[in-house]
Amino acid sequence: MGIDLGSPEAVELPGTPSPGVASGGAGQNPGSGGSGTLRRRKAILLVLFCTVLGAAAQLLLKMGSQGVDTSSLLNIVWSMAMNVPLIAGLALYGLSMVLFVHALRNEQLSLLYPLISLTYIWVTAVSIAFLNESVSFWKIAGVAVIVAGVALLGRDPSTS
Amino acid sequence: MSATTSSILLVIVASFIGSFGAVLLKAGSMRVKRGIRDMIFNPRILLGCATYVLSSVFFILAIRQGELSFLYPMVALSYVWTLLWSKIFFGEPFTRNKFAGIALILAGVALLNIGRGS
Repeated sequence: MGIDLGSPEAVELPGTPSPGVASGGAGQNPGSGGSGTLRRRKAILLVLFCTVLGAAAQLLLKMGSQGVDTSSLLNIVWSMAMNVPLIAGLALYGLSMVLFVHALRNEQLSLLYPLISLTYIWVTAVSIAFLNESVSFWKIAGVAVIVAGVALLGRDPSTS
Repeated sequence: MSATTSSILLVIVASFIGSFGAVLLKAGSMRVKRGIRDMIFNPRILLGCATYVLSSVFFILAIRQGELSFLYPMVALSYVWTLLWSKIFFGEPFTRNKFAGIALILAGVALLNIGRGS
């Protein structure tokens, strides 16, 4: 985790240019520091970006997993450590987590967390589109219900 | 067949291990006073990150065979474990929303498995 998360005290100061979201790579507007809604919109965009990164990470992990040699414990460790798509997938996954924590500094968890569940929809979509996986009523229904469940957990007032 | 039983078991193990990662990060974060250095050199946070890596290893082994669109949503089971640990280790209350969320996740995983053979 090479990103400076800074001091949390600085977050809520009105009028200061938002220090958090800018380094996240999402669209930045230097003149927007004081606006609460704009800061909120940036945080939401950043989390949406996290969900796309998360789905890309899963696709890379799936591709990399095909090259894992399970003939012995040593081979598992070695073939994973030397596996470029796997390392790239894990790095993207880590990046999306760091960016999410970053976005959380500026917005409430209960607003942002339900958005994370979109990752399940993207992963299902790319699996069907790029990995030629099967589509069935049960699969779509299962994912939809899980998304609703994760979103509901995130909305819980006691976790925000 | 969208996934083998061993793939499903590996995902469940991965979600179980991963939920301890969250517990360790939470325990570590309560001791971080300020600054990135405090965070990086905190043994609980380090152990939490290592736990996530271990969980990823099991997940990668799980998705070798079987469909990602079937196995990935099952990772949501980690929320079920995490809710349990939050109650046991941190005394966080169960709420109606949490119950409903967990019930939906379990129902979703059940729906996925109903369609497993088809």
